[in-house]
Amino acid sequence: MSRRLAFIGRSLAGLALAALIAARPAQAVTVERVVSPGGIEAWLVEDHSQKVISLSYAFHTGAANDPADKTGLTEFVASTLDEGAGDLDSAAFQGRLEDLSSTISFQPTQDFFQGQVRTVAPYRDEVFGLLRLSLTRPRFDAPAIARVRDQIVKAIAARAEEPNPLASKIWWHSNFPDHPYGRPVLGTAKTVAGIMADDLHAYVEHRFGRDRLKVAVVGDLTPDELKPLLDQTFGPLPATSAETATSAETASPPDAVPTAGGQVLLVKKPVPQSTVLFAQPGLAVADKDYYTLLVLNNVLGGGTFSTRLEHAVRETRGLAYSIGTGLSNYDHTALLFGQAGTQNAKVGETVAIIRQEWARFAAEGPTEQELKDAKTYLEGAYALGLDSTLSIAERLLFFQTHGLPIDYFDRRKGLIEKVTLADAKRVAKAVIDPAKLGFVVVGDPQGVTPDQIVDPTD
Amino acid sequence: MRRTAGSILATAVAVALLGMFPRAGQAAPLFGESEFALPNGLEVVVVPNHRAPNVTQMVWYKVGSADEERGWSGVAHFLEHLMFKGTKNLKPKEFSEIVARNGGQENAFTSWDYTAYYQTVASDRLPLVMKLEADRMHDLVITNEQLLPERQVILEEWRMRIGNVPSATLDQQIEAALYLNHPYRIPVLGWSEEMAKLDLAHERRFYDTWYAPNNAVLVIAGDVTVEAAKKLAQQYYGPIPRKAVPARLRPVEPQREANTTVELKSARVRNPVWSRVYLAPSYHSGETQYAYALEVLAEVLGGGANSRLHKALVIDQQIATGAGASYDPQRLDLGKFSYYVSPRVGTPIDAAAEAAEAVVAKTVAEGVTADEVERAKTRLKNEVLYANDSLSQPANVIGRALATGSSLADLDAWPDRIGAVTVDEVNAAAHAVLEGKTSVTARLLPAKPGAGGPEKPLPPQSLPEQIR
Repeated sequence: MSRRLAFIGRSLAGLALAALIAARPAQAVTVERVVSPGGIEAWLVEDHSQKVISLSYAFHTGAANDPADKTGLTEFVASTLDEGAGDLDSAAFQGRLEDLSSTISFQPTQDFFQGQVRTVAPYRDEVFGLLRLSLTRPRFDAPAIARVRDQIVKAIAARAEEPNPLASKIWWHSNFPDHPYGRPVLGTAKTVAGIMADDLHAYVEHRFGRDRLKVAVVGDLTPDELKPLLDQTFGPLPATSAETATSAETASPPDAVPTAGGQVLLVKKPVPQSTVLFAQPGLAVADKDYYTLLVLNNVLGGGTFSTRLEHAVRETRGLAYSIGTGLSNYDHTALLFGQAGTQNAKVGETVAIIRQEWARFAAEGPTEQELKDAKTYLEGAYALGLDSTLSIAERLLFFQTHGLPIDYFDRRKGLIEKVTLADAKRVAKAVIDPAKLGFVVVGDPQGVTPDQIVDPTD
Repeated sequence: MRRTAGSILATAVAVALLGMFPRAGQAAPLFGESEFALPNGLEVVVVPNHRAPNVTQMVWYKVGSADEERGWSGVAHFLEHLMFKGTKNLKPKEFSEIVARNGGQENAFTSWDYTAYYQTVASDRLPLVMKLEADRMHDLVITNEQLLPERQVILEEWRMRIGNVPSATLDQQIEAALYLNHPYRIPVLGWSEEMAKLDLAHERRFYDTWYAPNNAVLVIAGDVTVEAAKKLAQQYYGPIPRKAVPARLRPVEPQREANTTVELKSARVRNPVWSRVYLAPSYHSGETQYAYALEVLAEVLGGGANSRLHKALVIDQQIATGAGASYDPQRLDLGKFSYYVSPRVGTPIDAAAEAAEAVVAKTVAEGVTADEVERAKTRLKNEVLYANDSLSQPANVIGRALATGSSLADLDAWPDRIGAVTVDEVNAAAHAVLEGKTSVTARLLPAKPGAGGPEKPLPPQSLPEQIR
C-alpha cells in the first residue's frame, strides 16, 4: 500500500501556500450551519459515500498569546495533550485510538490552537469522547512531560541547522523584533526548560473556552447526530475562557508590519545551497483588494509552473529547483512571501533577478492574458484541493477563522471574476514594492552584500 | 507526542461493520476499479468516483533509475524534467501553461522502478490532459537549449534534497552499502558527479527505448465513467505505436558476507540517529512467501504507540524520543527491512542501539503474540478505508502496484492476504530475514564545527553563461 514513500518529484517543495483560492461549482459542496441545544455552532458537510468522519476545530488562542518567558507553551500543550487523559495513561490513550482506527492531532499556530479528528462512523462517539477527555482532563504525567520536552528541545536544535526552518525563524525574529510573532513557535531551549506541569494545566483551564471555538465537520453523519455530539464533546468547556474574562495575562498583540523591508540579512551556514526567503506586506483577507492581490500572486510566483519568477529564475537560467510565492495572513499582519534555493555562487544573481521582476511587476502589472490565465487557474484549482473529508473540513475551518461567510464556496468565483486589468495594475503599483521586500539568506552566498549578518544562536 | 495523521489501527469488528471486504470467492475491487488494455498494449485502469467533479490522470512508465545505463545515473529523473520541455506539437513550457490555464494541477515523480506523471483537473477537462499526456508519450522534443538550464535545475534539486541534508546523504551511503551489485545502490537523483554530465544523446536514447504505450499504465480516477474513459483512451492513446521494449534485466544481488557500518559525522547534525537495515524479500523477488508476514512484523515492531520498539525504548525505558521499524514490499527486486532509534538527550547512542537490538533479538527468539498480530493486521487493512476517502490516493496506490510487478488481483487480495497471516508466519519471516543475516548499521552523529569528514565538494559548474 502507499506508505512512507520516498518519491522524488518536480514539486514546489516547502511552500505552504495559504489560501490558494478559486470557486467550486455551487452544487458540489453544501455547507450547513448546525447549532447544538447547548448553543455550540458547527459548519457541516454531509458525505455518506464513505464511513469516514473528519473534524477540524480551533480555539482562538495561540503562540502569540504565550507569555514571553514561556515562549513555546502552546506548542508544548499541543504535543502533550495526547499523552493521556482521565483514567488513561499515554500508552492506553494512544492504544485505544489505534484500536478505533482513529487519529486525534493538534496543530498550534501563532493565532490559533487547532486540532483534528479522523474517525469512522461506528467509533464516532467513543473517539469524540477521547477528544473531550484530552481537552478537559489531560493528565500531563511527569514522564510524558519529560519526554515531550526532550522531543521539542531536539526539534529546536535540528531546525537551527536546517536552512528553510532557520530562514523562517530568523525572518520573523528580525522583522517582528518587539512583537510576539518574532518569537519562535517551538520556543527556545531556555524557555522550554522552564515550562512545568502547572503551566500546562493552567493553559487548558484558562485558554480553552466555547467563546473562542470554531468547529467544522465533514463526513458520514447528519445534523441531528452532530448536535448532541457537539454538546458532549465541547459542552464541558467553560462558556467563556477565564483568560477572556480577566484578559490580564496576554492581551491581544498589536497589528504590525515587517521592520526589515528592503534589507538582506545573512545567516552563515556551510551548506552547498543557500535558502533565500523574501517577504513584504500583503493585504488582509477583509481588504477590498485582497482578491486582486491573490490573482497578482499567481502571475508573479504562486501555485503553478508558469509564473514570472519560475520563468526568470528556473526555466531560462536554471538558478533554482524551487521558487515560489504565496500569501500568508495572520490576525495582526499580512504577508506576500516567497522562497528560493540556489547554489551559493548564484545567490547574488538570484536576489537581483527577484528584485528586478518585483520592480517590473509593480510598474507594469500583469498582461491581459496573464490576468485571464491566473483567474481561470484560481477558479478551477480551488476545487481540486477538496480531495478528502479532512481537506474539506480544513477549508471550512479556514473560512471561519478568517471571517469568511458560510456560502463562501459559492461566492469565491464571483470575487475573482470581478478583478479587472485596471484593478490589477493599480494594486500592483500600490502594494508590490521592492523597497519593502526583505530577504533572509541562509548559506554561504556569493555576490550579495548583506545589510546585517545575524548570529542564529538562541 | 504529536503525530500527523499516519497509519490507522482498527479491530476486526470494524471491518465487518464497515462491510469493506467481501469474503466470498475472489476479492472485490479495492477501489471499485476496472481494467482493460488497448490494442497497442497500454494498460488502463479506471476508478469512477463521483463525489466531486474532479478527475486525476496518472501515467506510470515501467522504467526508473534502476534501469539506467551504468555511468549515467540520473538519466531517468532528468528525463522526467525534460518531459515538460516541449513536443512536436507543443512549445517548451506550453504543457504546464495549458494545464494551469485550465485550473489544473500537475507534477511528476521518479523512483527506482517507475516514473509517473499526473494531472488533476475538473472532469470536463479530462480529454484535454489526456491529449497532452498522450502527445508526450511519443512526440517529445529535446534540445540543448532546454536541456542545459534544466541540468542546473536538477543539480539545485540535488543540493536541496541531498547536499543540504546530512541524513539524506547518509541514506545514500546506506543504500550503496546494502546493495553490493544491484542498481538500487544508486540514488534515484543520480550521483551528482554524473548528473553534471548528462547529455542529450543519453536522454533521447532512454526515452526512445522505454517510453511506449506497451510499457505504461494509465490510471484515471474520479468523476468519469468506464465507458467514457475507454473511448477517450482509445481516441488519444490508441494511435500511438507500440515499441519493442527491452526486458528489465537487472544485475543479480550476490550473497552478503559481511556486516557494514556506515557513519556520518557533521557539524550540521545536532541529534544522533542509529539505524540498521537488512536485505529482505519483496512481493516479487527473494523469498516472496514472507512479504505479507514482514508487513505485519514491521507493524508489530515499530508501527505505532504500542509497537514493541516504541513502547520499550520511548515509554518504558525512557531512553529514546523515537523508535520504529519499516518495510516496503513494493519493489521489482529485493527490498529492505529496517529499524531505528533516536536517543533521548543524555542517552549515549550505543546504549540506545543496544536496547533496540535487544528488543528485536527478543522478538526473533521468543516470537510475537496473537493479540499483537491481530491488531497489526487490522491497522494495516484499515489504511484502505482512508485511502478511499481521497479522490487521488487510489490512483497512486494502483499505479505503484502495477508499475512494480503486482496485478490488480494482487492489490484486491491484499486485505485478505494480510488478514490470513498467522503468528507462525510472522515468526518464520522474522527468522528468515533477521536471524544471523548480515546488515548495514548506520550512525548519524554530530561533530564540532571544523571536525568530522570533509564536506562533499560541489559538482563542477559545466554550464556556460546562458545566452538570452
